[in-house]
Amino acid sequence: MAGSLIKIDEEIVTSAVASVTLTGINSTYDVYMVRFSDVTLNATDSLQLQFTTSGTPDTSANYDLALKFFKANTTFTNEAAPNLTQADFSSITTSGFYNGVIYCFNFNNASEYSFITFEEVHFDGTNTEGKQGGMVHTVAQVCDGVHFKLNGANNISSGQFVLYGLNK
Amino acid sequence: MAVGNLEFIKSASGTTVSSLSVTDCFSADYDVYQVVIDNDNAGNNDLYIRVINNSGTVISTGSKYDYANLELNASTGFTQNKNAGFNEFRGIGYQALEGAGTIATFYNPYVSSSYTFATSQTASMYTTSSYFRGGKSIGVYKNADTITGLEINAPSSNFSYINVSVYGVK
Repeated sequence: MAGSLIKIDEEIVTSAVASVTLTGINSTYDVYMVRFSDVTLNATDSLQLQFTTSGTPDTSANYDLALKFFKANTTFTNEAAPNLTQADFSSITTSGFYNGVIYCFNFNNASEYSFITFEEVHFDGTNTEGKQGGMVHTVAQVCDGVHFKLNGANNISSGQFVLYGLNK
Repeated sequence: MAVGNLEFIKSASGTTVSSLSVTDCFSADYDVYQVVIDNDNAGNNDLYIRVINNSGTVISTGSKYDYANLELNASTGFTQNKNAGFNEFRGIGYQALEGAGTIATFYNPYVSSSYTFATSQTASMYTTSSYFRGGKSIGVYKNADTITGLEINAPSSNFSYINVSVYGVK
């Protein structure tokens, strides 16, 4: 339906950056969607995700996560842990790509936790893998966006990162 | 504030067919697509999906597909299925006796410098005796070429009906 997915923020990476922050989540919509596509790195590293408060990444160890790790070449695994400092989408080489979609719930509610569900697929340079699951930030506060970073001191070489609101 | 959209591109449908091609649904206008597949079939199985390139060729050789999917069976537990270097995607959607619905996201199909990636979620009903099967999957077509469509195949029996709608994520 036309007009049902409203673009809020976008960053198209064409030269190396250490991180990408998308902001603009507020009371306008109840649910927000983030897509990231064709993301490449300048060295072997892992793409990671945190929420933002007032545009600043929340780095506190308050993220609880559970997911299924799909692998085309071997047995799938589970990942589940409380009190993390971020979600980690696993490492790729410079020949790899990340793509995925994230839904954000309750981000603008100061009296509730912020949740996400996500589905992600990547080619790590050799193998095809993907993670599907969810994460919650166990602090009752307003979050206004998401922050993509790398585990190491490397850069995102290219990619598209877009934040949408789901019209209501 | 920029305005974006989930924009309808096209739909295709068939009745009493074993295969449905959705052609010219991917273009330079979008990088990411949502594909909605709704079908009913006398046989229960995975959907077998192959990509179609900009020459109209269905890619069914070359061992360029990787996939991994998890069957969430309500009655018999969960099952992992996977293949690397295969000739089609399997499990990006199911065919099922009492119907199946799939939402699949395809990433970068038309970008000739990148691979074509997919994720999906499926709900289906195998029989009338409480055999719900959900599914989650990932896949990559590992060839950097220009993909313009999909061929969706029923490996067992014909589709009683199949409806496919493709949306671009602007």
